Amino acid sequence: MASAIWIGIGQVWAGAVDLLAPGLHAGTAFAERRLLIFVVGALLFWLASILHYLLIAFEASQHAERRAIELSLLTRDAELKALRAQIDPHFLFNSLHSISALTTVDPAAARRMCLLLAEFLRETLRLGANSRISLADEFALADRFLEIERVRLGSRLQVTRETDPQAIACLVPPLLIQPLVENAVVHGVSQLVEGGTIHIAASRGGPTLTIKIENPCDPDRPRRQRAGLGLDLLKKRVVTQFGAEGTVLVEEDAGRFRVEVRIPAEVAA
Amino acid sequence: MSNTRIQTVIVDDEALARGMLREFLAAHADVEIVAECGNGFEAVKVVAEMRPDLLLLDIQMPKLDGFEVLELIGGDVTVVFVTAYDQYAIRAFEVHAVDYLLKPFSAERLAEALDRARARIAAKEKVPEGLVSAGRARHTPLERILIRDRADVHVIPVEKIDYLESQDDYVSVKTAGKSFLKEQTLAELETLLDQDVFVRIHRRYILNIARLSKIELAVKDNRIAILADGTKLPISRSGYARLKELLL
Repeated sequence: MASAIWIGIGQVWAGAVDLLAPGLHAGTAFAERRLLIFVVGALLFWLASILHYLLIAFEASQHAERRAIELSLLTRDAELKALRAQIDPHFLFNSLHSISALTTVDPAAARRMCLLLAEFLRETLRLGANSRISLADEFALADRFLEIERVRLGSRLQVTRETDPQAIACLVPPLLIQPLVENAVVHGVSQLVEGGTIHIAASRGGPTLTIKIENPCDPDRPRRQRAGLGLDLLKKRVVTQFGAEGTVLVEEDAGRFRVEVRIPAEVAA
Repeated sequence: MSNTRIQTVIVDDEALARGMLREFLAAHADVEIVAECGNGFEAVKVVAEMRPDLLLLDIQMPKLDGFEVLELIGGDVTVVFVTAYDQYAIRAFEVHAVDYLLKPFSAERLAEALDRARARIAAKEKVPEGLVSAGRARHTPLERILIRDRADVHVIPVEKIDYLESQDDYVSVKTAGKSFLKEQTLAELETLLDQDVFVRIHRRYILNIARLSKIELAVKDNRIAILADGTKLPISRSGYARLKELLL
């Protein structure tokens, strides 16, 4: 259709040339070449318009590609930063100190702790490389962490878990829950003289996966001991990945600290 | 011989870490472990009762951290901090710790720390009164007030304080109908508290502004602050000026 319009314009242009030509050169040669001029003109317009559209399409695709790369780099960068922040160096130093202490009194326990620590580190790196892992894998990682902290804190650290199989099969971004468990230990249970129990629950209600982590905490602890950075990072991750469909609820009252994460329930295809 | 041994207290909330110190210290015949504590409260109590020479003190502990323990027990004890955190080193030396051991550490490194402790103890070098709390004072505004009542320790978060009343060299801390005596002057505490929340309304009173319900005009120019719980406190003229500045 557009080409017809172009031909029409071409015809008008050819007509104009035709009208002007005799005024300029007054020869009959132009009249003879009228058809040729018309065809060449029409072809030129065809070519020009095709080139034009091609250029626009090319630019658009390049722009889209660049944007996609930039976006993925940005998210990847944020993800990597988040993941790198996961492993607290003090957790490593304390664990190494525990191993050092165990080597003389209980060499077998020292060896077990070494293996646990290696497994935890390897799994953190391995799982972190995926964009989605099963909640079961995420919980397994948290278990390793808790087992290591159990060596350090002894009976002060207790854990109960309530999960339904449907929830465990859901896919989640890696290291989403592990930092929450870590917070529950570092800012919660380990700050209590008598320790306490961390309660972990996961359930699936229709399209939503809900994960809850609750722990006792010292309501009089100084502000600098409060979890801030880790939770902010988690909220940011949930928002960038799920938009309005993801929520992170944090509340504290009367020595109980609760975090509830709701995200769309995804299952492996 | 026995009375020249260094009476030592180990303070760490982790049993394994305490065990390791015990093991390393066994190689030093002049060191006698007189107590092991699993938290800061215990440490304050034990130090008050036993007056040890040396304290091997963890920093990150439940309830009271190592610095708070030190603030409560004063400067009579030689202290070696033992921690996995390196960010407290400067603060540790400000409160005159003889050494700062980073976990994990070797037996040799502990021996070095003990050498320094021996030298300090032999010189009977006491930390001058006030220096311990001066080191702490850098971390203002205060988040909680620590009060030692013989062997007991009370931790009062500042937001729970209603008001403070001067009683000579002591300050009476009023919170939810109870009062606790702290050995510190009102003027000293005033400089440590958040100036946007705590106002010196009178020579003898500092008020938590969140507790103020209304201000009443009594006789002449005298005003009275009425708190949410009905308590009445006098406001001086300069106190009223400070209050007005904060409220307007």
